[in-house]
Amino acid sequence: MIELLKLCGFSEQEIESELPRVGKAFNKLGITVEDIERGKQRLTKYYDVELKGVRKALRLIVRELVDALLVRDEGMKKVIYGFMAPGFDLLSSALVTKSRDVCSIHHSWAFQIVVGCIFGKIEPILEEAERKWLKAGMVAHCANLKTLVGPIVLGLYPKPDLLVTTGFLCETSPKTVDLFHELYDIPVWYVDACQDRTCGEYPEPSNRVASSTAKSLERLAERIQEVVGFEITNDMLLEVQDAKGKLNEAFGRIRGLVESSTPLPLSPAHENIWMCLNVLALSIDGITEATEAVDTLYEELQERVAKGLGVVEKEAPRVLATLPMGQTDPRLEYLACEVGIAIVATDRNLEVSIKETSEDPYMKFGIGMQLGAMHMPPAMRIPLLIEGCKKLNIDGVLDRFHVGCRAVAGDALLIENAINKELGIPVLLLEWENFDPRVYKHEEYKRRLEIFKTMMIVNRQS
Amino acid sequence: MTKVVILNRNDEICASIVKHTGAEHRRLANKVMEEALQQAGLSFDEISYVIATGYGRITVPFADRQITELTCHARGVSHYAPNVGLAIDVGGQDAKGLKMNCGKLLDFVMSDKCAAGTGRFLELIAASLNLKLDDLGKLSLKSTSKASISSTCTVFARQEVVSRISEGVPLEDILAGIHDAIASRVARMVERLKIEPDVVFTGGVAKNIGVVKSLETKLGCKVLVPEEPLLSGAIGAALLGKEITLKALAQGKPVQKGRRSLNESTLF
Repeated sequence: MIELLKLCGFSEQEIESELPRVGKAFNKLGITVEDIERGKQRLTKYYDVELKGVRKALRLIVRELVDALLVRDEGMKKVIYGFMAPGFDLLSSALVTKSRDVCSIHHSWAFQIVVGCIFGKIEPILEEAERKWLKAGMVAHCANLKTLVGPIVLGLYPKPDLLVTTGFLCETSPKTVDLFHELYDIPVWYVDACQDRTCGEYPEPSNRVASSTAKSLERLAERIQEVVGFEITNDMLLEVQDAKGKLNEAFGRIRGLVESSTPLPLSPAHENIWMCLNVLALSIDGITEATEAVDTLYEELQERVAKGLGVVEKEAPRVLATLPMGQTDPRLEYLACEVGIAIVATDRNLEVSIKETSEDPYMKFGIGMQLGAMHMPPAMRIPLLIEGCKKLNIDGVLDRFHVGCRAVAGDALLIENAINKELGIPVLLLEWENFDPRVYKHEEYKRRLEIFKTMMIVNRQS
Repeated sequence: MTKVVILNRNDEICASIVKHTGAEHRRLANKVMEEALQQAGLSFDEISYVIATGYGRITVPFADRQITELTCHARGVSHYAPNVGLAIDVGGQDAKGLKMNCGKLLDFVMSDKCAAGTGRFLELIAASLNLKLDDLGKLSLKSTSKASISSTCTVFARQEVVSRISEGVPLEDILAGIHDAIASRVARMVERLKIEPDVVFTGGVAKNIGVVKSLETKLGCKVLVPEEPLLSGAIGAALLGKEITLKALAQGKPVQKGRRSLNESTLF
């Protein structure tokens, strides 16, 4: 356990004080000695844990999970849980900065990385959810939902005082949250705003959408205030947004370096660590620590780039992938590197750049919410992808096809057709699920990636 | 199956071997190579370049280079039919669709999750019916009313065949139904590649005339089958090997070769 915590960036002093808590939390998860051993092996295989920045980031993620698992044992008065709820992280950070009596957990991000990516033990959690109401099979419920249902029904995560979701990104999340209310009597709240914009408004953000999103988020803040018993002021939110802005700038520097360097200096498997850091319910101090971790990594990567070191060969084909990286399993990204493909970016990072903003924290969020490719309909997501491919000098698109996600499954074929037509570069349509390691078929993926690589090389030469 | 093709400078086949692949790829690779050399009357040193392809390509110790099977298939098929836009390869392991332009692979689809619609499926059916694999095609052409085989799973389709036999359905009608089921599955798979005539059909299953005819009906176009459909990948590999050699010679560079030894090395 001590070695594992060291790999996750815990100092010796911190290990001494935190070991009993971590042990208790891992016991709750059913982590065995064999799991710890496997966790160490996976950490060293899939992640660059020799880099201090990576270790620092992992530490924050492990710490958040441990805190969340022990929240009731340690007498926290109020627990609020947000799932698929952009904007909730903003309120959460304000809450945990203000009060030590409130635990606010955003999504299952930390759970997915620690239990899935590090220990490789997410399957029993998913199966538990499938035994409840998210059946496996042809219906193909997204495993993301299962990582909400599993930990709560197994009693790993505490029954919250308020469970929050939105329909922004996932239409099945509100339905799942409904069932929590019906079956477990958990109070729930929906942030609800229509994200559809009028045709012709794209790519500019819509004021109507921004206002309704802001209003809905404000109502959530009022509801949370009733639960926690203190006010969430605009100043508190602006302070969080300011800290998060610095964190995002730090991410931007890393992304810029990764996208412009050959050979690729860092495996794409790390991408989900950054995404997790960005949306964890961290206090202002926590966000500052996260920014320091990203800055440290940036310096370390600069050194790597200066020495010409990388995780794939210099001439490896450059690939843009759709959807975020594997959130419970880093094997596909690792395999891509092994085959010799450089995934330099995902479309999660592509967004419309605008100058327009607001002094109101809710409006600011409402505007920002509309800019990313993942929040766009295909009519805008596809032009962003094409633009991204041109800008990043991409050789091929890894078009990941999440069958269980109604929000993005339909886009995959449209993306393939558009890229073929507009850019004429190879597109690999790959059936996949970024939350379910059971979809990973090594031989099948390896063959496809190898052929994809050959196609990109031939295309580049011609 | 493991295949070897040796081409001469005029792209003519000097030797070709097709053997069942056992567990020990390396040993078999050596053996079939020796056999092919004997057939061609050549020594190993006289071979300019060796390319290994397919599932077992990394376990061919004497290969100068490994190339993915789809690239080799595309090259082999375009040698047979230079302007072909779509190639379908159905072998024992999987079924593949290749969209091509002048031998360049543009897109592909694969069915490698399930035995349904592959040569293995036909092998199992032949064994269940106590027939020779080579006889299935001709026999099915005698069908007057093909049976409906609805299952897409090899195991359940086999059960369905047993049910049809017990119902007294003639053997040729059952076989026609099986071929139709395979053709439907393959046609659905390649639909995404946008079917354009001509279509070339390769792999072991292309030897089955029943499947070829069914596929023509499903795709609505003529399906061309090379004389030896099992060898198109190996021929493509040999052609690519020749191109690599000629390119190096034209540039005055030495041909990059691997460790050339036909001494037997075992994997297990």
